Amino acid sequence: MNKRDTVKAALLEIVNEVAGPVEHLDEDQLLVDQLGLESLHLARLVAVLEMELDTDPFSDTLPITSVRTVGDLLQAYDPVVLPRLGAGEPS
Amino acid sequence: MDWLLSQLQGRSGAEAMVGHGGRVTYAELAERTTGWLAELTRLGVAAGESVAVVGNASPNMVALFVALAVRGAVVVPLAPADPPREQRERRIAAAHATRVVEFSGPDEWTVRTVVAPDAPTPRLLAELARSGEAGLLLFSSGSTGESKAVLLSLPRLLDGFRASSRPRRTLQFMALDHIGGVNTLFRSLVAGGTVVTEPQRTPQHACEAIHRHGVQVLPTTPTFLNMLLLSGAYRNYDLSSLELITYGTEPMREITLAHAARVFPHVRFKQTYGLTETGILPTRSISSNSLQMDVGGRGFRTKVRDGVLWINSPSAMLGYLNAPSPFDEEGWLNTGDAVEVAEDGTLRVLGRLSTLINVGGEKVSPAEVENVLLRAGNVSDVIVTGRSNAVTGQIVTATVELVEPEEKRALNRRLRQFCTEHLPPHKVPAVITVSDTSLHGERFKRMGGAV
Repeated sequence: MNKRDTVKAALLEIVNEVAGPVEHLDEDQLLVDQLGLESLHLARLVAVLEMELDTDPFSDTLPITSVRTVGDLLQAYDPVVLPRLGAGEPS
Repeated sequence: MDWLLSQLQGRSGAEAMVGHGGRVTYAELAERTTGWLAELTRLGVAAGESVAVVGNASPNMVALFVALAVRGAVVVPLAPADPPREQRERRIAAAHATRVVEFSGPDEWTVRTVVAPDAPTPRLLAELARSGEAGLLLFSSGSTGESKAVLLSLPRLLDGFRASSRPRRTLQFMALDHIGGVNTLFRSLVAGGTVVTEPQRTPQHACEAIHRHGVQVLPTTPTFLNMLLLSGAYRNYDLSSLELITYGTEPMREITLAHAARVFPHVRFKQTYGLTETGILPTRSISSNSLQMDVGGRGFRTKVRDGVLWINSPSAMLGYLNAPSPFDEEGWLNTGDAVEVAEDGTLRVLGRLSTLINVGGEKVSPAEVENVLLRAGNVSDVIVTGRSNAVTGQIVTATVELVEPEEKRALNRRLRQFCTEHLPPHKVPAVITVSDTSLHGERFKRMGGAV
């Protein structure tokens, strides 16, 4: 499983506990207001992912408060670097 | 405590409470209090008797609280769902309560008589009954696992609130089984302010209550502020009435405070500090985005010894019913909180020295969780520790040693389910791992732990 799949699987397991069976998560779904996650659920998610991926992106500079959607969460664990517009060819 | 009732009566038509259970003026709250006093007489509740009150803050519940204070009884406030029923009954027994008033809604309640335990009445309760002074019994997590029953004098605690402060509209965020909740309620009522009650503590419900009732003061915790910012619920409501957000009960992360100060640029942020054993101390944050603060004043004295904060409090508890007093002969309490003192004398709380785990402001004793896991079956040994967490400050983790091998995922699910049945949610381990080696060596290195 790649990083994104691991994050999705861990999130899906917790969402299933909170809201009953859910098969699919959309990247623009809101973690708190739509998926119903509370502080202890999110705390557990971060802890489980730290064990599985051996990383906690929120331990240092990235604020957890900036994560609102499923997509934000995936981006936090596996940042996709978008090419800068107008950037020159790599040398 | 007659002064409290007189003061409620004196404020007549001003709004005392609004939210869960509707709107009441001070005159109506006083009227309900005298109604409860008559009911207490009818039930035969005498001074010195411990009465458990289970429910969310509402005008009727608060009127009962005040009536018990006026009667000189010992109030034992308990939240409806936390801890689970089995643990709640143990607390009722530890308090030597003879009645339980349980609210199922703001205007519905039942009263039941319970048989106090066979053991003699604890000395502190007997002394309080003789003095005719009203008491407040709260529970705080002890490092050995059993909750400590903290007995406070209500007159001493509430006297501290009589120093006049401006009447404001305050959200009753914390429950009344917590010193912070009692502090919010009575500080607001004594000042003639309005208490806004909302039993559901989600960001959305809090924002809706602030918007609908024009809340000016939001007393909260760093974990709730995390959730408020994370949910974005604040964007959907008009929160322009907010003037002050106070935060305490657990260390704040600088990154959260900076984000909150950016989102609410017109709100002042103030850190609070207190313990169940001492009451809440006066504090002053040096600025909205600083964790440095002045602590003490109004009779509260502080000192720092070997980097640890000590407190001498005029509203200190009378003692624990079920543990020795932690105060020294001169009335000083070692808080167990490591602090850093700046050149200007202001303090910054770094965290706890003890093994207690702080999950979103709720203290968790590793031993209590270990004792539950050891009863779950197929667990031969366990070590419970706290782990740093960006959402709740810390979380509970457990490492177990098994009798027979068990599949990792199924084991996690089974043990968490067992813990959920026997512990409140914040004490359930977020992560459970299996140790490859014996935990004995590790166990002998640390203090405490399950026996």
